[in-house]
Amino acid sequence: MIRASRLGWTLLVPMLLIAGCDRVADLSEIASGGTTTKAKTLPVVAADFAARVEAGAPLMIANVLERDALTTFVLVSERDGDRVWRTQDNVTMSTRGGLMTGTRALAGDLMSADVAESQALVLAGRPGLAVRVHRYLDGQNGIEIDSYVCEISPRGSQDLAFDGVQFRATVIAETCTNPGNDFENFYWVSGGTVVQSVQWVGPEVGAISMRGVIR
Amino acid sequence: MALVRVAPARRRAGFWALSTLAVLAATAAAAQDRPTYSLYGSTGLIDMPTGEMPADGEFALTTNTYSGVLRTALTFQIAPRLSGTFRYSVIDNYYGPGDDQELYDRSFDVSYQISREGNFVPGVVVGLRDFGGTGVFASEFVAASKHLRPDLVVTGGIGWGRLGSYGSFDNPLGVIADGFNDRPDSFSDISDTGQVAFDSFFRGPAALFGGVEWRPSDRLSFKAEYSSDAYERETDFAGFDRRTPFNFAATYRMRNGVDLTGFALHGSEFGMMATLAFDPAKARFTSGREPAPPPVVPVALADQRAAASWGDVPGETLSARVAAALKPQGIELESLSITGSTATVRVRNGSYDAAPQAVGRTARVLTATLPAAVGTFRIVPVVRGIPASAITLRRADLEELELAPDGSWQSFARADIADAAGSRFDPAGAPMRQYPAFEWQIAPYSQQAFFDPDAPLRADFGAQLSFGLDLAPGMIVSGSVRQKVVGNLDESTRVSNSVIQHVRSDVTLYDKTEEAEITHLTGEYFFRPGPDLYGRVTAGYLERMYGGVSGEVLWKPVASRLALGAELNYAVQREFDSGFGFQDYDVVTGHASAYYDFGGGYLGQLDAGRYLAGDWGATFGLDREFGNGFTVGAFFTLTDVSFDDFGEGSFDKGIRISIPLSWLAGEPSQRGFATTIRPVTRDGGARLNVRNRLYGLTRDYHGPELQDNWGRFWR
Repeated sequence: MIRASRLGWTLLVPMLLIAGCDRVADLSEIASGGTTTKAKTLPVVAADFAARVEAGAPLMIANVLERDALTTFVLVSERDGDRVWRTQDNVTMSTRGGLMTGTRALAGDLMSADVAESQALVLAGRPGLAVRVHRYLDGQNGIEIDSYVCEISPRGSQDLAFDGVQFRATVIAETCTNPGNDFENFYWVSGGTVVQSVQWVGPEVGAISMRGVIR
Repeated sequence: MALVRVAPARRRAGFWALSTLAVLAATAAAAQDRPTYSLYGSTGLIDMPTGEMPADGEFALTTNTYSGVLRTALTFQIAPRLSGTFRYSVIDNYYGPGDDQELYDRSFDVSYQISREGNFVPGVVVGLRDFGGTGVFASEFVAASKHLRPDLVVTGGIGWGRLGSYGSFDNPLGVIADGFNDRPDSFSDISDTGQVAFDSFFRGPAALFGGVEWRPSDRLSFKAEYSSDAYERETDFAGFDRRTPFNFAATYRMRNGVDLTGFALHGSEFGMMATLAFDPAKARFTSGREPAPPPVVPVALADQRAAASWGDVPGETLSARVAAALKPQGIELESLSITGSTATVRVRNGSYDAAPQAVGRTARVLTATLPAAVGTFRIVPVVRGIPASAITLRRADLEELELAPDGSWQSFARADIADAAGSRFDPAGAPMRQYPAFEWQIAPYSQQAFFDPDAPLRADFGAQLSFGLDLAPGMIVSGSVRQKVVGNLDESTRVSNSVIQHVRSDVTLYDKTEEAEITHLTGEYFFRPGPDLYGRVTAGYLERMYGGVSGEVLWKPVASRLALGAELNYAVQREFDSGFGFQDYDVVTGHASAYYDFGGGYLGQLDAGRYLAGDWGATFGLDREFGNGFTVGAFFTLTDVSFDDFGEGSFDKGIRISIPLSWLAGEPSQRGFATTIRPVTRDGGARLNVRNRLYGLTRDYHGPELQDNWGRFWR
């Protein structure tokens, strides 16, 4: 029979191949410095967040449903209908007409989205079909393109109360499918703008629910 | 409030529950059809092969044991139809009963799928097992597999060699030529090992085998086979009892991707097997866990901001502001110069393994910090003091494409990637990096040795002190000293029996030192001799075993898939204690090299020249690099040292694996783990291990590699 010690050694080989090999990095590389950017950006972004909140910038409350992570986004950039929002711990999200067009730092980010057709129907409250295109990183630093056909359908209206303000919103559902996947987004539209929504980011992140803060 | 968690903790019923289920169902269907692995470590039944292949790129580690046999194998799906396996086996009593009769065997398999399974056509694989080792498992086969139902696969095939040893008949290939009728003896002398046994492939008696696999769910698989392996040697010497030709196995797939298999061989033996198979193309966190990049700031706003905050810090220069904004991104500004409407920034990327991510973040920072008059950014990544390339981006494009649906591809198409030979470090051009710059660190280290029959794996662990001193751009003095703390590398009692100069085979003598050893201590100078040219001179203690002088020139146009290099070294062997002393062996060694990026991640390398023992020859290497940096490759070297003089293994060969830390951790990093596995370390075809060869330094910043990784530009 195989001796126990030898068995142990040989089992170690595959584990070591994965775990304990020599470092690739060359040593003169230490002259070029840093390894992680997380800690360095955090104080800068947190200070910027506080300053913008203080200055009265628009806010959004959001929840990454699958991770049950509740957070607040503040508006950091706005141009030509595109808005970029950022949290205190440096996660960003971009929206266009209330529809999400990208996220960063969610580990499974939506890199970009073409939502023009959906946006037109959702904001007009009109039923119809729209094509939506999502782009993701593919795990090899390339871009994977997923396109969906979405059916947009109004589902009646609902009374909402945010921060002590009451208003009536139309609920719009967007049901998207492609051969490999499907998801459903919901928008609460009032006065031509999206005031609340549940939007799907991607397979690794799931959906985010979000609403504007009235202040 | 962390939005990123390692594992999704708690699932909530929500609007999207249905879509989640759909995703899970889709992956389950795919997983159910994943072929399982055989005792040989490649896809197959139990001992018999099949006509199936794993998904392209799949990497599998297998260990199994039964009755005095232990096998560990590593299989890589090199291309969609091509698979390779390296296996290490220990067989008790191979040479007869009693102690010390074990065989320690390293062997290679290769197989090719000549037909993919279709509606009517079966998948057909032709394979060579143990084609270049001792020949213990030497066999060739053609196997065909077909799904009868989605969960049921039947296999039939014909084998030669070991797979033609039970129930055999005259070789049908004898019809073609008489030479196929007889198979020469495979294993005669240890010194013959390693040669490819061209003269015995598909020769001698043949036999039929077959089997069936049932995969009732994505977690379970049951296999039964009729084996054509007579287990002759094991029955004769090791007391193996082969009662029936039938083998059976059951496999359970755990949630972490490990397959556990129990199997019964020939009605007499039971065994266990564990397999871990994964796809290197799938990083654990596809988009990474690093913080978001700063948003692009439109030119109008940037100007306002610049005007408002100008003079916040008295005497603060523009380059100081840019440097301060780049620093949190892990990027160091070396210099900034503005000519007309173009700003040229030389930056050092200390953080990102994907170069486009460093370029993208630099560009974002520049939109927020440079005045509106600057309309063009010329970003020059600097590696070891030399400009690697110049990437020119228009500010207007950045604004337009940051949130554009096709922003990634369009931004690559509009970027200009050019040679940066002319972009020298200009001490007058507002330099931010001060020379000399000194840094040091202490880190743990580990070194391993494989395949010594007394202990197939040995390792040392210790601490390593390293320093780097940048004297001037491209001029670096660096060194490292390490001290072993625990380990057993020194326990090896192997003495080299090499008949040529002992240039590598005495490595165990270097491992015996108990004192601190200098792993390297060098002065390096990196420079650009001209357009498309890169140069390096290194002098000092180059590596653990050699010191001397090394010079290299590389020709590598930024857009080219081809690179050519030349290297010339004078090397003197160091004392076994890796201190300051030298032995009396010295050699002039050097190579002419050609590198070619075939696309699709396949990288070829050919080095021809003189090796450490003074032998002349060439090394052929092929690597498959996944976009995320995970690399698996193989190489072999043929020199004018005869197979006899080389000794066991006949010629130098091996496989190499490199795993980026970012692949494991999901955060950008330029570090990783790399190892080279050689079946045996001998003295023929041995190369000097000079650090910082130029191809590896520059490739990431050149056209083909930038294009492959450009998806991270906006990350």
